[in-house]
Amino acid sequence: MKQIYALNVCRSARCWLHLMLVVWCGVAAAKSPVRDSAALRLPVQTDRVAAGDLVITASQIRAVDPVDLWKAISFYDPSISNSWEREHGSDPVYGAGDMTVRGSKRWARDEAVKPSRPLYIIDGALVDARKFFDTDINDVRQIIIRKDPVSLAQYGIRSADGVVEMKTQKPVKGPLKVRYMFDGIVEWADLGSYDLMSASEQLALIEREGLTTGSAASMQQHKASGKNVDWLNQLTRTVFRHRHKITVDGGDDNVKYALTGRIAPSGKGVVEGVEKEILGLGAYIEYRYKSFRISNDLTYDKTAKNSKLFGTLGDYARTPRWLDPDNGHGGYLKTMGHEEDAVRFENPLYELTLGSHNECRTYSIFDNVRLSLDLGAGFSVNGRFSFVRDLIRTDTYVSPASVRYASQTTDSYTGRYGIARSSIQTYDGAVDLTYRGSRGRSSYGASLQAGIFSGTYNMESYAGVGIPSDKMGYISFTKAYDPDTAPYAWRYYDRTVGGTLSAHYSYDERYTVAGTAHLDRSSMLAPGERTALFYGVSAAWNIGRERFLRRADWIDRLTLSAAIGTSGAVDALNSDYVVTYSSNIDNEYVYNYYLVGASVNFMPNPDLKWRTLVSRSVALQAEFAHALRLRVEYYNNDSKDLMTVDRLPLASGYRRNVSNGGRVRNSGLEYYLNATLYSRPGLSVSAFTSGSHNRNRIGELPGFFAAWYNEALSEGEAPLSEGESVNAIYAAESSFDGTTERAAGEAVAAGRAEPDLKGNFGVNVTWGKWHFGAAFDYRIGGQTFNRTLYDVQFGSPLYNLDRRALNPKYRRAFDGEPVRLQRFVERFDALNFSAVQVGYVFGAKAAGKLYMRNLALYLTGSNLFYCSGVDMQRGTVYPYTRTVTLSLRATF
Amino acid sequence: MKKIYLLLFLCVASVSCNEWFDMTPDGTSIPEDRFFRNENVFLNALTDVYTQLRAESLYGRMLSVGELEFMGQNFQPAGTDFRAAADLDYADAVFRSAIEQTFVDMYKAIASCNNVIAHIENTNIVFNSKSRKRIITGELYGLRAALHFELLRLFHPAYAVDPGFVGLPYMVRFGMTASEPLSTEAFVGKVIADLERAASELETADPVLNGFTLGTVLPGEIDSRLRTFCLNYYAVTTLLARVYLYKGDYEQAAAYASRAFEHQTKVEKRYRVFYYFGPGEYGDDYSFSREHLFGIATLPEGFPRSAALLYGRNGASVTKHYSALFDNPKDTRYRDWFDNSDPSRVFMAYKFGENSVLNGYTSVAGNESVLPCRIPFVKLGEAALIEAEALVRQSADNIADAAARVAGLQKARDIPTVAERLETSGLTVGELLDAIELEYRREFFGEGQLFYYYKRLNSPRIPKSDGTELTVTADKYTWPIPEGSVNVIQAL
Repeated sequence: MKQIYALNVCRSARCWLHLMLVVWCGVAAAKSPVRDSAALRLPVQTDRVAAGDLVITASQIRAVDPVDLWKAISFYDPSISNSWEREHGSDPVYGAGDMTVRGSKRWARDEAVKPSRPLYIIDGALVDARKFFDTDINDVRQIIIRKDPVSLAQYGIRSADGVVEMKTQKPVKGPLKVRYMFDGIVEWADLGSYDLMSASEQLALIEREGLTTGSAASMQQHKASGKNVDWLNQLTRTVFRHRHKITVDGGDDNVKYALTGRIAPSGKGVVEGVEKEILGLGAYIEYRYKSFRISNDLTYDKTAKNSKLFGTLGDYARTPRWLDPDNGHGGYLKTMGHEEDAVRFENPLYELTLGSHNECRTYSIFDNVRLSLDLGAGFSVNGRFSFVRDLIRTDTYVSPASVRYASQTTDSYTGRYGIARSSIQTYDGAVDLTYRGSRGRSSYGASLQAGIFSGTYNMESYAGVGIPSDKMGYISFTKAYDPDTAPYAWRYYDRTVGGTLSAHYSYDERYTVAGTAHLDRSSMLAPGERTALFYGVSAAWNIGRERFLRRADWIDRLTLSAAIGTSGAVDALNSDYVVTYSSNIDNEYVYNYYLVGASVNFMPNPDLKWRTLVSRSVALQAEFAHALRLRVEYYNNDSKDLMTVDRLPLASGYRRNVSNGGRVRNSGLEYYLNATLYSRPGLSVSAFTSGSHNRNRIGELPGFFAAWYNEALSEGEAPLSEGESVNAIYAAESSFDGTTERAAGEAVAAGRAEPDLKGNFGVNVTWGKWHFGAAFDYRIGGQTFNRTLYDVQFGSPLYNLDRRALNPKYRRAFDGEPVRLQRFVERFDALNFSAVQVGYVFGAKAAGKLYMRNLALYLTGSNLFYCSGVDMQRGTVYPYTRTVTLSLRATF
Repeated sequence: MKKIYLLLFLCVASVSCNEWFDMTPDGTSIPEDRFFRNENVFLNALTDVYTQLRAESLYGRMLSVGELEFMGQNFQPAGTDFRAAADLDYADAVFRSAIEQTFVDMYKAIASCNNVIAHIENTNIVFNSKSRKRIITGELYGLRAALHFELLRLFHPAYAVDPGFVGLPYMVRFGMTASEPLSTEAFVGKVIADLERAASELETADPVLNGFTLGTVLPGEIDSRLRTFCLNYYAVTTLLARVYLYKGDYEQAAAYASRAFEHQTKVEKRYRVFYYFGPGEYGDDYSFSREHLFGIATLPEGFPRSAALLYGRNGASVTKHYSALFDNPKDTRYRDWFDNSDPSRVFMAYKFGENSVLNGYTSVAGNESVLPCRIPFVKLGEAALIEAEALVRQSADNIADAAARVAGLQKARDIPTVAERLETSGLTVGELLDAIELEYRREFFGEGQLFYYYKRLNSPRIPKSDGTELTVTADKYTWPIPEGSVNVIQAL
């Protein structure tokens, strides 16, 4: 599991530096972002979008965030959540962490070991999260978040954690066009959640608590210095980045083509030393002859991400403000403060002057060939073959001059250079035979699909130590292998063959039934359970077409639907179901004889099953007077056969091994509402809102597993308890008698991390050539553990704390060891001003004067305002940021 | 639905063959099907079982110098730590959980044997050396039987008391389920069958038959110098003698016990891997390791250190016992095992401990290598005592042969022998048996074997080191079988 995690370290998804350029149809630029989506849809594409799937169009995405695909997706689908954003903020270097759709489906500890990720798909081909989120946002035609039980079943063992699918833009018929897209981005850090003590306040607090910074002399020096350094401002900056993209495309009835190039030269992040750059090239060609069509889409992407800073933003927030990075003689101090200080602080600015770095470079080739043939009589054949080759290389250099070697007396092992390389190579092919027909009022169809996937994943790492000087930052200058980390290599395979049979039948557009069955056979499954079958069925009733409602012509649509289906996910590793051996390298049998044994690692479970998600949903979909579209859905999803441990008969030689068991239920309600408030030529006003409510509950919890799990909880980890949420926040009650506070009793479930309601709302206005949009996201209810308050209560005053530490009401005298108290568990409501956008589309005449066919300008502000009911530091590793982006779209 | 399933299956099956799916990852651990693709690794997997045996819960402490030795009453614990073991108090929670750990680890070593046995018997790898395959197979069968027999001696009542007692399963397969528990009689039958299988594999191939040869040993080859670190042919035959004696089959016991002495006649002394270590021969090798038919190798920081802690100056003292047992000051055991610098407080500080080493081994690099002391599993002295006891219990006419065997051991210890006594003053069978008991009490000092001696005879009393006696009932001789040993306990 560790290996998988390591492989993912480098995968970035959060691509705020993406170049904005793409095959964006000229017509789209001239239309309002909300309404152009239909025009973009190519008729040849067979999009199997089920009623329960959420479709986000290109224009919706760009209206919220012109750069960051992750932000846009998580904005539109409120059922998506993650656990890393609160700490990692808007970190461009941090990989796409875990992401859940409709609640957590596993135990929290499994999540920490191997974060759950949805299946990511680009034009039918499986890709990893990094590739998906590194794709240029302007290339996106639509994003489909699969939630419909029937849709999920079609992806078999890969789909229980959700499926996020991307369809990319394709060129349209027309003369050769050259497009140029430009984005200029201004970004700055949002440090509003930090309210730290000043130097004098902190010194006063230290005195009040009868402490010193180490000695009277050091205390005296700090008092006298009169310094008050704002560490967070020292490390963050306002940056400007720019991205460019050029596309040449065109075509006729037979051939279509598009060539793209994009570049985002070395863009800086708001934290000193963080940089990212992207180069992308693409070539698309499509040939059509009568009923036969073939296309090839080839892209090459290169990204380089660099971060120099060691430590987190939170580390520097804790640094006392009387410390001065400057030594007063034209240089930086390595370690700041007085020599008698009880806690010595390293100078982060000194570290930034060194050559130390953490650089990740990725090279990615993606090729996707698609074929389709219309056989007539309703039959058609579609084929697809894709190839992905990713190389990811991470270089980690710690300069020998780094403070971390300050206590080292000999130079032999100072400085470390590590290289980690991983590669992904996948072949993925599928072919399907589809039939569609109709007779009278009935329409029906069926398709049979067979797919094959083969992926090879490699990872290797090695490090050398002992570098003579700071400038010799490469592994060739090291003297020896790092004794603490032996060279390491790892290889992993995924070979899966799947078959899908789907059918649907509809009568009079009133009654529709659809079903699908999917069979997978995969190398990721245990030999005893290597074949997995999934199914999905749905039924829909369009009440709006019934005779008794025909008269009500303001009802365009009123559909009631229900669906049930299964999907799967593989949490187990090969070693969980196959006996594996390891060498006892450090435990030779006969001393000095190098007689080394190889032992069985643990008792595997050859009958281990995959995790199954049983999803059930009921939905109401309505459209009234072409102006109001509403969708309300209730779902009740059971996650079964989770990874557990179970007791073994002791005579097997082992006390326990991995097993399946337990059940986690996520049930909830989602709604999506779109309304056209006013629509006349020249002016249209529309508004939207959506919301999601999810309840997570452990339905079944095997007793032996629970006892094992709860026996060794790490700090802050919540125990499992039947009936509670897997995300429950555990805290103990406390009593306060006016002077001293005490914990009372054991920690109990005191809150839920999940909000009662989470969603968005916004408005779009098109007035002549002007466009205006605003969007907000919110969460209501649920709780959070306020770590900042915990630190205010228990933190040492030798570190800088939130200013509330000055108030005895928050910093109470406490009897006993620090514990998580219920008063730190607070209701968590928040509102974020996600985006505001102003756009102007130049008329043909004005554009023509500039030798252009089209010209449009957009100004987008993202995350400009945030407020929350919980006063807590957020973005403790990397700050949240605010951006203003100026985008230009020109067609020549 | 069935048709759909069939259709889907056809569509999958048409492109699938199982091997295509059997792609297993590489890393620091390796799946068994790829691991066992080379003839050398079987030896690695076997070596691991030996390495497991020196765990603290097994022969690294519990079944040698630790709990089991205190149960034999040769020592009285210095503190409260082994009190429950010395009192045979199985209600004690700490002792009980230690017993459970021993139980699990014992079966884990057996499970490791079983997995290698399954692979070596079904492998399609051609062994270039057929004899190497036989040796490894023999050792695996031997280990499986030896460990099972230890479990039987611990958890079942003595054979003489109740051969019908049903307790433990005899495990022959690696896996998540346990086989059905067997009666002592049936269990012993399986032990004998496995040991005989081991003996038949080893009797032609084991290099121990010809003694050791000098020369370079390549990785994966059997090192003839290190045969007593493994369960060799003579260790197996002596274990068979041990089992037959436990069962009460004196004829077989005597026959098998005599095998070990063939080595002494067939092989020239300088090539022998085991022989009696007489006075002046053993140097710093205070545990007389050359007499081990099979001993478990240790690392300096492991067994020698725990033994030093238990029996060193701050450990269990044996003052009274020491002078009562060792009546002859010439006895090499008396001279070299004990720290009697302070006659009021005597400790068995030297037999095992950091100063007791194994000499005469040459490392792979060609240097003389001093090895830390070894954990005895079965010794030449025991073979002599088994043979002698079996002979006289068969018939009083054998007393001369029996006395000669015991005399061999006594001579090596530099004390007057029973053979001399037989010639000079005469010796009854009872007196010889008493002499044998005395030698058990002396020879296995600190080795955890004495308890089994008393248990085999279901002796109502065990003499204690402080001069008193411990009254023992049959149930006290039997360790409680841990709960959930065969069937998983469902309720928590």
